[in-house]
Amino acid sequence: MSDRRSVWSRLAASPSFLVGASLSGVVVAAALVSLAWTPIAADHVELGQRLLGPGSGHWFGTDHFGRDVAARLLVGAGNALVVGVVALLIGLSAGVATGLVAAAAAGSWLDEALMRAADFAFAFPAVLTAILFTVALGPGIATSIVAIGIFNIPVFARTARASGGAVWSREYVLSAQAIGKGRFRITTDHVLPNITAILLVQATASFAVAILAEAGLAYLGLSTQPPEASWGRMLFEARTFLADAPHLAVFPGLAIAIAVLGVNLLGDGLRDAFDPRGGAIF
Amino acid sequence: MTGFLLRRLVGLAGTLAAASLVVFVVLEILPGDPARAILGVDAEAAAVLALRSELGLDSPAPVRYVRWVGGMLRGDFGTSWTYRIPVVDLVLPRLAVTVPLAVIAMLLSVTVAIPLGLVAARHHGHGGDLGVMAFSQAGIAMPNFWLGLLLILLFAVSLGWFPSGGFPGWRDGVGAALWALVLPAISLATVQAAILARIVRAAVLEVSRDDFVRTARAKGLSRRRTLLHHVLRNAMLPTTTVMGMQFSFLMAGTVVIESVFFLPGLGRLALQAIANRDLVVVEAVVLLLAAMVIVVNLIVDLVHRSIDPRLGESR
Repeated sequence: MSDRRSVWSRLAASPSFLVGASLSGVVVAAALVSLAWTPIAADHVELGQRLLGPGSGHWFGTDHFGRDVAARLLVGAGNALVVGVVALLIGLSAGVATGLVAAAAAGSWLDEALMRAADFAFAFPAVLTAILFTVALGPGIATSIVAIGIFNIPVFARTARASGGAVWSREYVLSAQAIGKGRFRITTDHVLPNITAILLVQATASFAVAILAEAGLAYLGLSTQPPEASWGRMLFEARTFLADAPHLAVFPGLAIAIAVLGVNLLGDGLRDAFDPRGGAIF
Repeated sequence: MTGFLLRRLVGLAGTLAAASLVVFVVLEILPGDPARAILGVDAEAAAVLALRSELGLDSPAPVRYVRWVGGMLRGDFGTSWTYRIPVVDLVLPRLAVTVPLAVIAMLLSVTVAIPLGLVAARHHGHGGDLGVMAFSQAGIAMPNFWLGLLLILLFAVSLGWFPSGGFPGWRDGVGAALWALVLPAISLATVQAAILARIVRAAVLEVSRDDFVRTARAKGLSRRRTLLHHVLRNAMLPTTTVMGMQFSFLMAGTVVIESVFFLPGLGRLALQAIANRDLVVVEAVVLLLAAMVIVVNLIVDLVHRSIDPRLGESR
């Protein structure tokens, strides 16, 4: 209990955590607000209002179809978070299960096979997986979610294997084995609860990577499809109008950077709170 | 060393074979008929059948896989369905853009990251450290393609110093070609440098606490000499590991950056091939990019071994 309290007090005193939580809170709030309200409908086309600068009745100006950039940024926040959360859940569930099985079977052929498969999966960054799946399934938000989710699996498998393996060598696990507890029960009762903090920190890092990856895939036309608003797609469309409407290239990029910075700082704060002696840098 | 190299080469061959199988299975067995996609939904069944036969798609999947891998081993990656020329002739000129871009970006990121990491570690907890860490946080949060757009905006559109995109090719002079790669390389390298600077900083701080560093200082070695000759050498071990992992991200990054700067590299070829549903080209490009990541990781392992001979026979 006191441990938990000291984690909370460390979090409350951590500038990284507080700034990260605030920035992340702004992005989540933007996504939630967009469900109920946007200044103007995000897909409302008004060709007479094309490429207007910030102000002039539109906070962040308008794009080449006269659509309101602020409204599209708000809706884009929702899409970024949906891709990030679902891709994270895919990676987290499949990866942690794989890593825990490998840790429970440490030293066996199964452990070796699972971890070699995880190493191998690293040769396929999310963009390559997305290219493969786009050919097979067509471009779209589901394709990018699957691609980023698959990319996350080996990341969590390695984390769960390494930290789970360490827990398996602790005395209390040896005691549990001595009283006849099975591998499955030990994994659920002792190993998983003891690696939750590490997984949480990894989850923040993976979530930030997922937001960046989705934006990149959307830029390439492999993720969210027009007319749906997406930060990466907005940057792609801005490329054509760089000279006439530079603001189009500024705001979506800032939105991505704020979201990623927020989650990364949140992760830094969590890591410092869970491991005050100072753990790995990332 | 020979035994180690042999083992790693066998592992490399196995990994490449597995990668080829994954690419083949995903592209050829998942739903969708390429012949139908090329001819369009209104095409007559006879025309689709004829094209399937011409493309060799009427053979069973295992036969096609063996034929594909056998061809690659002979240097034959097949013929593009769209351009009707050998895939090798499409890929090689693109490699001459993607590989230099990735190498320049990697060199740039290392050149920036090591001094930054050293400065941060040297001034741990003070101004220099905080500055480097702030740069690192900002660099990691910034999508490389956004940085690319901002660089185009500033250095191409406003100042006119660099081209805003395109690639003149190597035949018209190395200078112009390299000039066209400067902004793309900076876009790619900044994120990598931001991550690597953190790793160098952490590794240098970790090694600095070791006993041999205290001994070196006690023997009268200057702080600077100890840092550069003893600490940095040992800190390179985790740094090279991360560099190997980063190469994977760098290759992924080239796909997006080539699109931002309209560079005729492998990534753009892959995207064009997707649009044309030219599976032979997509297969070759994806496998080639994955193979480059796998080979670079082997090289990192070898570099690792040469930096730290203790790793030698334990592997």
